[in-house]
Amino acid sequence: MVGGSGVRLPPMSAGQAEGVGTAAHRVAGFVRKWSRTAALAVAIVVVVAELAATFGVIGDYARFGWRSVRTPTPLVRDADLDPLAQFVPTSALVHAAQTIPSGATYAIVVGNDPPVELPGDVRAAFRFWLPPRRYTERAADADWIIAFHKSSEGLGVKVAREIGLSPYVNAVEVER
Amino acid sequence: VTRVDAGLLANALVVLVIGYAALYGLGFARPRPGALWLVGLAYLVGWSLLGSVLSLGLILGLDARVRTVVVVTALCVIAGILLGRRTAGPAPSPRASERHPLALAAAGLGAAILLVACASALALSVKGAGYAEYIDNVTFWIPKAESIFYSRGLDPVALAKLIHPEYPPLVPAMNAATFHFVGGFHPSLLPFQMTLLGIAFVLAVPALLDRYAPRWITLPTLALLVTTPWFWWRFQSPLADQPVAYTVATAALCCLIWLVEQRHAWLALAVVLLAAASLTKLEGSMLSLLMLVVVLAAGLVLHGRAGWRAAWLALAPAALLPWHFWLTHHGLPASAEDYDASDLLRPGLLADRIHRLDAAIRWMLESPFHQPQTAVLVVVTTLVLVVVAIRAPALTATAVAWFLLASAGLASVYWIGRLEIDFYLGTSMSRVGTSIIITAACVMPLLLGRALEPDPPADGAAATAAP
Repeated sequence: MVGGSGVRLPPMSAGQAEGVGTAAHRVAGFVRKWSRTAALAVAIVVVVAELAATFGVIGDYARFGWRSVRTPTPLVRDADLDPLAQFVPTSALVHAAQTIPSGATYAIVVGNDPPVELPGDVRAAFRFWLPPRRYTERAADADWIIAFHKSSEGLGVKVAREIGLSPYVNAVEVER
Repeated sequence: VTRVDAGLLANALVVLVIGYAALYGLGFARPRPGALWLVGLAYLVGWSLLGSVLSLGLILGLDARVRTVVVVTALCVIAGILLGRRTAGPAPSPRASERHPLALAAAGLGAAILLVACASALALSVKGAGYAEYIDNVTFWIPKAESIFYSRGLDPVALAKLIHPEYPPLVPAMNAATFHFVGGFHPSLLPFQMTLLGIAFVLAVPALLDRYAPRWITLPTLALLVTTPWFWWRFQSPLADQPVAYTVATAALCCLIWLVEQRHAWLALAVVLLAAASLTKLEGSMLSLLMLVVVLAAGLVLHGRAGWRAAWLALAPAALLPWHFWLTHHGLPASAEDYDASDLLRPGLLADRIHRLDAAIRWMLESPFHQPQTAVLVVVTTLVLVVVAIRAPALTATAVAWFLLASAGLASVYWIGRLEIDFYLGTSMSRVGTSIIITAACVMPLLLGRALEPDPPADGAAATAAP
């Protein structure tokens, strides 16, 4: 059968060959024809299912969008600040940025008086808002310390001055 | 018009100009009204190209300021024009347009749903509230951009103090460029920027699929993808997961079209998109590498030696190497803190953690069915893959191979991961895994379109591989 392999099959008659070829062609033709029809049927079912599924939510999105169009767009600076209210009082962020000079180094000390649920988020919010001021983890290395729910007496540094940022939040300048 | 408005407009125009220059250079676009249909693809390609160049520029010590972006734009335009003069114009679409009233109705309905979904997302994004919805944005994604903006480049000291300094710099670089364009650190503008990129992706997919898939299939499929709640809400998310999904999905389309047409410009486009995916997130480089493997194998099977050209896709994951060198040079960790890839070579550890693999696979199989739109999308895509396998076997096999390898790749990350498995899956897989669903949704109309072509199918498989 395969040249060079040395294996030979007995020769088929012309009729046999034609019969096999015709049957194979018939099967192939049948599969080709019906597979396309099946693909078209599936495509129609898919499109109907897809459009039906979108109806469950598109009304909600349209409402969200419409409500958004009708509400006034905030000033960019307010929009920058407002989402951080979920972590800390935004007045503390604003006053910290006004108090700590832009070239200064700062640290954040989070206390528990009153209790703070997510101290990591508090640090993240200040670190997000205060650059280009440089953050340091060691309070002793900082020019300024943000004492969040923490008394300045417990910071372990000499205090040059203390400025209130918001209730229970102070900026402490370290004396050098 | 404020400085912010003008900055955003200029930023978008620069991205579009770079994208159109690339499409012109590769022969996809010519200065005709028809090129407007490519606006989404141009924006996505421009974002990918500018982002990749800025990332590599930052590694070399450049900044992401406006003048740098303008120089990059000028260089891209010159290169595009020079290259475009030597390349042939776009090949005509092999598809005839649909005229059946039901087909027009389905396409029209799909387009209307897409319009409402995209317009609503854009309206929501201009409020800017969405940037802090994921804590990762506040702890490292946006702070990285902030650091590049204030330091006028990559500052290893500042990066060392952030979580995941090893994450690639493309998205932070593009965000830093936006801050320079608008004249200040304004994170509330990022949801709008990301929504623009998302809408560009939504426009890019039909522009690519139009060659093979009828719009009455493409637009309803895209409409369903866009209206799945996780996709719609993440339109405005500044996380890097959506850009990875956008670039990987469009690159997959380019690769499949290359397998059919063998026009090398498709590979070049895929390299640009996959390089951006690699420089966006570590998962992007893994997905790119798997695409290289699958497309190379399919190319060799279908086209013999000509299939070796798919090896050019290796440039995409290789784009991450300079970033690794930079991290190592500055003493920063060059691999993820959450897992160590070499653990895959430790059979004992793998056996100890087999429960994690089991949990990851179960999560991947079950979670899509917790949300109706996603469940419909997964079911119809699976159904289509089964049906079209008869008529477009090579393309279907290529797509399925990538889906399976990508799923296995992601599952292996959670297998060797160090974080508590339920927390890891809940916080990470729900975002990263969507790249595979988004790619599947984009590829599905292409396969269906190929299967609906009149006999004999002109699929590369039928032409060369299938008996």
